[in-house]
Amino acid sequence: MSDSQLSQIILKDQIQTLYHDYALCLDQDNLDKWITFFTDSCIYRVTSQENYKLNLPIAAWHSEGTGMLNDRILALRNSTLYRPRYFRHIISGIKIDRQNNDVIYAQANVLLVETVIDFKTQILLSGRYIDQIIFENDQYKFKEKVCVYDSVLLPTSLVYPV
Amino acid sequence: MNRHIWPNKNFTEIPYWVYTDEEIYQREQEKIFGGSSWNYVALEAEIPNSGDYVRTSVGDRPVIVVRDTDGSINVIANSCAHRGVAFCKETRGNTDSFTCPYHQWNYNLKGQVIAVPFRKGYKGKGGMPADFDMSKHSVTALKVHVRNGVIFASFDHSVETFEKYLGNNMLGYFDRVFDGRKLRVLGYERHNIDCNWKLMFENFKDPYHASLLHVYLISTGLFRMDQISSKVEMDDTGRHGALISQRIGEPSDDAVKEMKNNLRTDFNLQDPRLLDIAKEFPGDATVVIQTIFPNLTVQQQSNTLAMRQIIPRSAGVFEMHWTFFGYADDSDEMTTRRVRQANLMGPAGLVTVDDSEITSMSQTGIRPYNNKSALVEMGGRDLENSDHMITEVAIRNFYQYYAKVMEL
Repeated sequence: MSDSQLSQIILKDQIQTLYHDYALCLDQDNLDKWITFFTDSCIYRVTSQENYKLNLPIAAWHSEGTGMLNDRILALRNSTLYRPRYFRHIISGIKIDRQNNDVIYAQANVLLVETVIDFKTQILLSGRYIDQIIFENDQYKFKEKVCVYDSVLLPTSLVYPV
Repeated sequence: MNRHIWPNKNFTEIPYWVYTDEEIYQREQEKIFGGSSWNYVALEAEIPNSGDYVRTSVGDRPVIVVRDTDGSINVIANSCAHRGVAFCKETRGNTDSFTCPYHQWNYNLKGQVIAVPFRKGYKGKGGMPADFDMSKHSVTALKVHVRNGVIFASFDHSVETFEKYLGNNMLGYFDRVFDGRKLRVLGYERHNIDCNWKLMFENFKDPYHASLLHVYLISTGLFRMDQISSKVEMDDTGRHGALISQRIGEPSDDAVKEMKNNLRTDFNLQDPRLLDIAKEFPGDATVVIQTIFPNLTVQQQSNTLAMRQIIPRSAGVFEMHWTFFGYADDSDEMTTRRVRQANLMGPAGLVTVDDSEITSMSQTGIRPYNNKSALVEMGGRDLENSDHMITEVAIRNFYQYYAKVMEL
């Protein structure tokens, strides 16, 4: 095995670990740590397939930079009213599309399953991450993370990051 | 319907069966959404060219909004005149005719049948009866009105004019946002909410809750009951309404006392760009939430502009369809502002989540107590316009009109 093949295998493993850690962090409700998965000037968006295909700028969640992510978490913790619930982020099919300079372009499937207490577990969304990752301060971080969900309709509320 | 009798005629009580009874729901489809009302269906900017169409619903009835070859707009039922198939599958597109995939009946953009395969049969056998008249089998066409880029439709062709329907005062608020400038659609959001549609429609008419439920709004000062120039206005019939407010200054001591459970004075955003608001409308108001009976709220909160279209699906479920927009001549900075501020709205909205959750919790509490009523006496028992926000007067007005149309 050549050095470059080996480094690709290592990279693939590291990127898969990044996604798995990301999912675990969210499912453990560790939102302060969640923010550390992003670069300071990151773009984080959750948007519908419809908006994405039509190239429309509106998103269900649109944050620019970790300050805005922090403010969303502040609101989630202190101001938003919602019924108690649990989440599971199922991430699969992680694929590195290409690398350009220091940026790794990756995609993955995501299934977000929500259990609002008293109700049956439901699929909140199924979609695809379209991401840009860089290595910064000994850590892989999302420079850009866009979750494009498939459905036209979301259930009542999307209260939590994807 | 005899078992449904409104409990009192000054409309300070709302019987819970209006939110839960499927018979009432069916009656609403017929009397309200299918009756003498103007329903919002789309923005002109969504269908700029002839043949462009979008699918939507009036009440729970599926319709197609399409621009005809002469530039006019038609709204036709998405239900084949033959066997009822909702023949249009795509959310939007461009076409010169519609064809039902079941038996290939073909319609022009007005919904008139222009071809029926095997109409004359095959080799002298079969086919439609000799007296079959295609002109009598169009899909249902609705009456259409376009005002400053906004398309409304009615199943009742004898409905009063849109301008008369809104009345002068409400028309003024409508034209404040739709002033004739070309619009630009910025995106869509849609969610399914587990409650009766009226719980959300009356939420838009309820400024009392906004200062108490919405911690984000009051803590950032975007909407608060003590703000100056706050008022609630309605049309003469009470079916439409507008909440008008102005973002300004710190709350008074008295207001802080009333909101003490929820007002957070330590709510400092790390990134204030979300609240970087540019003045863009004449007058002092920074928020105007206008409800247009029966299915639309025009929401202008700071620089976020959205059409919120209600589509009822059953007594206990409705869909909220959001169309966010700006103006075609907006600068990039203004579009960015609108996109950032849209974080307050929609299924993941910092403010909307409160409303979607509370109305779902209302449905949970209402459904099993069908013989009870809601109390709406805030601000008195009258039906007059209000120069303050501590009132449920717009809800009383809505139900006065609702009971009349529903013959309850």
